[in-house]
Amino acid sequence: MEGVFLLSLVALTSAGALAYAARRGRALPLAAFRQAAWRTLECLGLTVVFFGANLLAGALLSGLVRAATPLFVSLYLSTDVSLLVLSALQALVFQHWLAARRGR
Amino acid sequence: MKAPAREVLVLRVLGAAVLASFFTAAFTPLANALHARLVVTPRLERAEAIVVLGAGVSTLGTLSDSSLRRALLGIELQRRGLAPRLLLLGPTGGDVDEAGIRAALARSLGVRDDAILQVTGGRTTREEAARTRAALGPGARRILLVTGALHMTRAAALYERAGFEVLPAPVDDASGGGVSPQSRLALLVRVGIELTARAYHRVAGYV
Repeated sequence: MEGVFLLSLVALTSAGALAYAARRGRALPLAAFRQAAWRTLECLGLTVVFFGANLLAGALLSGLVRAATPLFVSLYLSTDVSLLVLSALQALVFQHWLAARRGR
Repeated sequence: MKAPAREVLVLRVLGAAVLASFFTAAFTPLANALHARLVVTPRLERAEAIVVLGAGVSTLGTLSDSSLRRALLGIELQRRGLAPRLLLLGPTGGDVDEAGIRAALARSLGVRDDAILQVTGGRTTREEAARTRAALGPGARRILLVTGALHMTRAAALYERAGFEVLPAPVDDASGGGVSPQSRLALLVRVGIELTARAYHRVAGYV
């Protein structure tokens, strides 16, 4: 039930945004949707790559600190949900950066 | 139109996999089913000691939700007479002492002071098992182990390796019955972390 409610909200606001853009004379062409979908998937893919790299770096760093110093760095530190958000941010920045380089 | 580079195709496939995983995890009972497969059935019988594993405390000295739930179950079992001793674990950090805070809670809920054993300094479950053995002595065998339901299999294996017979007393601290997308995602993260930890322990030869 919660899922249906949340998905309905997203559908409603998306329809609202489309209607608003059309009223302002900036209707979004359906043909461009495919390109938008590809870019979204690329960004999500890049997020996974950065997230994996961050997790791996976290595990290696924890092991290194434990082995080389008397300090204890818990492996659970890397499981903080903010790391996922930061990885998504990394992906967004890099994707826009690459697009700017290509002049897209 | 130029075909996209191989890296871009890989990213698209990964992205599609993430999207599919997200919708499956958030909007289906997959996480609940996985959780149900991983948890252990309680075996609440008489033991020599009740061992309550640490689960975190804030810098202000507030027990985490898991820590409080585990401590309360341990206290309840001790008050029901299932074991004479209540072992409360928790690492110390700065001015806060999880085991000490739990011990104060146990005393305030009627557990006799001489029944409480505080074990500090264990930073991982493996260290906690070693410190429990040191605290209870080489003769101790049968224990009621109180920890999170997901964590129980790994914790029990580590305690068995330390020479204990483990009676599991799991606490459902991962909300296995949650049905909202947020609780299902949180549950799947917990399941993922636990499965990774089990794999790591197996590879490292700890269990």
